[in-house]
Amino acid sequence: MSTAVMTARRNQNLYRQPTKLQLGPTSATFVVIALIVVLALLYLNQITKTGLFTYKVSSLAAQRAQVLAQKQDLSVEAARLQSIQSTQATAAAHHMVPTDQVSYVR
Amino acid sequence: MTNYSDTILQRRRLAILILGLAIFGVVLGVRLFYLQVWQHGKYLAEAISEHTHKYDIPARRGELYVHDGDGRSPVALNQQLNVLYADPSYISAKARTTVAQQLAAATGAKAADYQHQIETAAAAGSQYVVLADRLSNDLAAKIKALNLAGVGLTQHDYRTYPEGTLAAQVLGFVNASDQGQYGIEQYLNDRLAGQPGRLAAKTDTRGIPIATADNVQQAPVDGQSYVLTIDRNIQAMVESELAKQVQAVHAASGGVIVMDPASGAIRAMASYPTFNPNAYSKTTDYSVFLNQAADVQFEPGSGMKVFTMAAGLDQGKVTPDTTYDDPGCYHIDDRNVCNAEGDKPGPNKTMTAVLKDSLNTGVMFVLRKLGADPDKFTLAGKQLLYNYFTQHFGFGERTGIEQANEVAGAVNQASNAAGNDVNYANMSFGQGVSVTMVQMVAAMGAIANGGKLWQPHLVDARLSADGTATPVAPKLVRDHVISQQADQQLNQMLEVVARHGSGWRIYENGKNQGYNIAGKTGTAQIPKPDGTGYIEGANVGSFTGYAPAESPKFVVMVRIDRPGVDGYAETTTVPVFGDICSWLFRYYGIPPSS
Repeated sequence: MSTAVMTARRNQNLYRQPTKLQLGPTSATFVVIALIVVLALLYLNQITKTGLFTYKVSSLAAQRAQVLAQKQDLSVEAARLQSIQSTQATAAAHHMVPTDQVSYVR
Repeated sequence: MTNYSDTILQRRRLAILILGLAIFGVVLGVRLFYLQVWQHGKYLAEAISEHTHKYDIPARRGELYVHDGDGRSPVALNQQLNVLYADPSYISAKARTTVAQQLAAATGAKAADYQHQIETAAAAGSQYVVLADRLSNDLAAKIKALNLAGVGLTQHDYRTYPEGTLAAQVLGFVNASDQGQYGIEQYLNDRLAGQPGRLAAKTDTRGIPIATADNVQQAPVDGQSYVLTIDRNIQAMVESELAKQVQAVHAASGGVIVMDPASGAIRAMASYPTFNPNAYSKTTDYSVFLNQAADVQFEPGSGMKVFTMAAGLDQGKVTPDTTYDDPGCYHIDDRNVCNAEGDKPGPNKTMTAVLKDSLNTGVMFVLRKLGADPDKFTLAGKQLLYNYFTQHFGFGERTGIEQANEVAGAVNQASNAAGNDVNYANMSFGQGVSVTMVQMVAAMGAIANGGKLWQPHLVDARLSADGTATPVAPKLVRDHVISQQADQQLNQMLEVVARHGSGWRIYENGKNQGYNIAGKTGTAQIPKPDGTGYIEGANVGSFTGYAPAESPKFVVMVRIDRPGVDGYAETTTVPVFGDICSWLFRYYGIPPSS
C-alpha cells in the first residue's frame, strides 16, 4: 500500500454516526402500494408479451400452412406437366418415331 | 354536547347498520359459497367451454406412386382447393342474376347454371348450396375480391390424380367424405387416411387458440404412402392398345394385365371403358368403376384347358404325345358335348393337338383319364380336377390383390349336384366355371415360372416421409403346383399353340420373329343373368400367354367382351397380345431367342 493512501486514511474521521432509516406508517403504505403496482405492471407486461407471441405463433402457423399448400399446388402442377398425357401432347413427342427395327449386339 | 337520548339513538342506528351489514355479509357469503363451492363444477365447466375450443387437425392422406422406368412418378396426390357455396337467404331475388353473372365471368362457367342452382335452393328454403368445387386458390382469390353477399368459399383437401385416367380402376377415388372408393384407395383406406389429431385450446374472443400450458394437443398421424408395382409406361401403352382394340372390334369392354411371373408384381392393369377419377362424380355408368381384372368374373372358355391339361400331365395320365380318337362329341347323360368348331372327329389326336386345335373332347378325355376308369367320368377324376383348379392354381378364391371389390369366381364342387358329369365336362374346357383375369394370370404365371404360384400384388413398397422406400416382400402362395417335367411339357405345348395354333396372329406380318411365346386363347359364351343358359351371339374372348417362353419376363392376358365382329379370341385378342409383346420386348430390351 502506498504512503499517500496511508496518509489519507489517517486523516479520516473514523467514527460515523449510524443513520437510522425510519418510515412512518404513511410512507410504508405508499412503498408497499408502489411495490405492488410495479409487480403488477411487470406481470401484465409478461402476460401481454406471451399473448403477442401466441398471435405471432398463430400467424406463422397460418403462413406455414399457406406455404405447404403452395408446395402441394406446385407438386401437383409439376406432376401434371410430367404426366404421360402431357408428355404425349408435346411438340417433341409428335416428332418421335416408333422403334420398329431393333438390333441387339450379342 | 349531545344529550343521552341522542346517544342512545345513534347507538341503535349504528347497531341496526352493523346488523344489516352483517346480514348482507352473511347472505353474500352464503351466496358466494353456493356459487363457488357448491356449484363449482358447473361454473368451471361453463367457463372452460366458453374459453376452450376443440379442433380436429386433419391427417395428410398418403400418396401413391408408380414406377417410371427406374424412377417413380406420383399418381395420387393431395391438394387444398376451394368449394364455392351460396346462402340464398342473403341474396335478394333481384340480385341473383347479377351474382350468377359475376361468378360466371370469374369462373368461366354458365351464369344460367349458377342462377338455377341458387333459385332451386331458395325455393327449397335451403341456406346452403354448393355452386362449384375444386376451385384453384387463384380463382378463389378472384371470387373473394368480388365481395358478393351470400357467396362464400371454404377450403378442402382434395385427392388429385395428375395422370388423369391412367390406372383409374386400379386406383379408385376418394369421395366427398374423404373415404376411398373402389380400387386401392378403398382397399388401403385406413392406412392411407392416417389418424386425425386433436387440439383442445383456450381461445381469445375471436376464437384464436392461445398457447398455454393447459392446451392438450394430439398430433395427427399422416397416412402411409405407397409405391405401386405398376409401371406407368407399360400401363399407358396397354391402355392405349386396349382402347384401340375395343373400339376396332366394337366390343362392350375389355381388360389387360401384365404381370412379372417371378414375383406376381402387376406391371399394368387396364380396363376399358374408363373414367377420370378427378371427375368421378360426372360418371353416370358406375360399372366403369369396376376393375375388369379383379372385380369381374367370367367363364374363361378354352383358356381353362391349360389347367385341365396341367392336371393330366402332372398326374402322369397323359403326355404331349398321348393320342385319343376324337369322336367330335361325347354323349354325356342326355346331352352331346362337342368341339367348338364343328365336330371335327378324327383318330390319333395328340394332347399337343388338343391344345393347338382347342378340342373340347380332348380335355374331356383328360378328365376321364384322371379318374380310375378312362371310359367314363368318375367322382375321383372330377375331385382331382377340382383340387387342381382350386388348391393348385387358386381358382374359386380371392387372390388377395389389393383391390377392394375383388371377386372369387366359382368352381363347382365335384361332390354336389352341380358337380354332375355334364357340368364337369364343360368345366374341363372352361364353361360353367367362373374366374377373374387376375386368377388366370397368376395361374399362368405358375406355369411360366416352373411351378410357383405367387400372389398377384400391386403394392411394391411403403414410402416414409423422407422418401425412403421399404419394399413389401412378394408372397409365395404355393410351390410346385405341378411337377418340373409336367411344366416343361406344358410350356412346349403352349409354344406350339402360340406359333401354329390359335395364337398364330402373334407372329402375323413378321411381328415378334425370333421370340418364343407360349399361351392359349379362350372364347366363351356369356351366361344369362338369370342363369337360364347363354346369351345368343355374345362371347368373351381372351388370350393368356408369356414370353420369352424359355425364360419368361412377363405374363400378359387380354380380354375382350362381347365383340361386335365375327370371330373368336384368335381375331379379337391375339393381335393386341402380339402388339403388347412386341412393345414389351423393346421396352425391357429382350433380345430374340433365335
